[in-house]
Amino acid sequence: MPATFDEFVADRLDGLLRYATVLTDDPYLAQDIVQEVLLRAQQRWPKIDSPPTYVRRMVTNEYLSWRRRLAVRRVTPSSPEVLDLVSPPVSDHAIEYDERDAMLDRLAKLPRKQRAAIVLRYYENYSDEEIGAVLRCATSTVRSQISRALATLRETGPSPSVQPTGARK
Amino acid sequence: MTRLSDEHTEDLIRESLEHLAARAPDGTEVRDALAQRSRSRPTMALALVAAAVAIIALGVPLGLRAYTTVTPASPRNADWTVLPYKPGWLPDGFKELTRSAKPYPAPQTRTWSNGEVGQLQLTTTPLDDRRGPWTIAPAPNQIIVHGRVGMVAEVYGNGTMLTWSPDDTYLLSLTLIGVKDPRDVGLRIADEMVRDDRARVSGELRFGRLPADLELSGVNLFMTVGGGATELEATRTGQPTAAAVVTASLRAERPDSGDATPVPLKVRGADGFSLPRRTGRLGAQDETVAVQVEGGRWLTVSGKRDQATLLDIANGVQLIPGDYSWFGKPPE
Repeated sequence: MPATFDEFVADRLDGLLRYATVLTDDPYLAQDIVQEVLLRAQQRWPKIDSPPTYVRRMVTNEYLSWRRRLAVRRVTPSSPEVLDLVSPPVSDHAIEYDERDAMLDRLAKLPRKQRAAIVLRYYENYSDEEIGAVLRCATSTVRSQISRALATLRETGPSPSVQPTGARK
Repeated sequence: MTRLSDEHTEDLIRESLEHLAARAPDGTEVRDALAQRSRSRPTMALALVAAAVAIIALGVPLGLRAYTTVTPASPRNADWTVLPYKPGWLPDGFKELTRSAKPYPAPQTRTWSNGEVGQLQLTTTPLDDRRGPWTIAPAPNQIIVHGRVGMVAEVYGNGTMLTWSPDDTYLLSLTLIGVKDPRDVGLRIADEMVRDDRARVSGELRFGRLPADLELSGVNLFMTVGGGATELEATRTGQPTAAAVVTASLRAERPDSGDATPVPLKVRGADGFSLPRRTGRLGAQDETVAVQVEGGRWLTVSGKRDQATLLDIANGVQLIPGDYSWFGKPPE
């Protein structure tokens, strides 16, 4: 485990940004959240027992609260254009990725707690117990959230004009 | 409406999330922000103001009834190196540590410390006349300063911030860290806040030549172990609140080489050196040129430009008399 805050940042920042981007679907918001969380963590660093767990939980909590503030903070919501502004589009083959883009569209519409649970399960590979610890809820609630999210994500009905990420190329 | 299989759904979720992860920003801006904070100088003003704005704006989504609106009266043409407010009273032992200023509509900041854990930061932000009225909502933590509504909130876990507008022209944020009874102390400081308009942020550096797309965007004065230090910032034209693209500083300490080896370079006609972009004590650091000037202090120019540009800026920087006389003193 990194001994100092600087070492922690050097080791973990990129991973935290990836996690926050997956969570928020918005690279700008992800960067804001990670920066705010790390600035706060830096202040109380000596008192933090398990920095990786603590910081990841803070990022998740910030996401859950920041989502409520989007309208007033004028944060640009995610869109293919936003994503492509931050980094150039990868070499998509539109047809092959139609399904993935439709899935991204459905993920973007999940309620935030369901999305957080899905990200923790399928991106972080957390167990239900670990997800419950991060989201501060019972394991049964985690299972219920994931079950409802999966039901939504399985639906492949007609999707309103999904624009593939990377459409600007 | 059709349904994917369970297995295919899970595969597709993983693939989609990995695709999103690949779009994550690099950590440069976050590292820069952390490095600035570590230097413990008043560049945290922007973060504080952002917090203040968020706190004020939060009244709306939280369902709180709007109570007061503050219509901006722009100080757009005011001299931004002049500090408009100062505390008329501070607790015993608090002495001024730093000053910083940026052009409209960015904030100006002053900090005081009691030499132990106590720290006070006053951020003065000109209200932006392009933004429209601010809405300050009533909340359980509402405060009244001279009959005007403000807010008090916890920040950074261990600090208390009071935010109010005394005059429809400026938004003031006072942050108290490590102070006993911060709300009461903060309210008294707010009540006794007075116009200053005499104190200035007068540093020892002035940019000479800058690339056409850059302009002066801020000056920071602070004290290091070796004495007074000045830092100038330049951002892209018309973006005073953006992160600095180039920074020039004059201070006693030699710049941190990190994991790089200094390369000898003539700077201002003397033997200086350059450093490539590198990893230092505070993380990634930009390309740098540096030279010792008269008196033994180091003039350093660094930023996200090539060495030739940084060298040209360093050669053009003017050394002028600055004013650190306020350092270590309570408000006059």
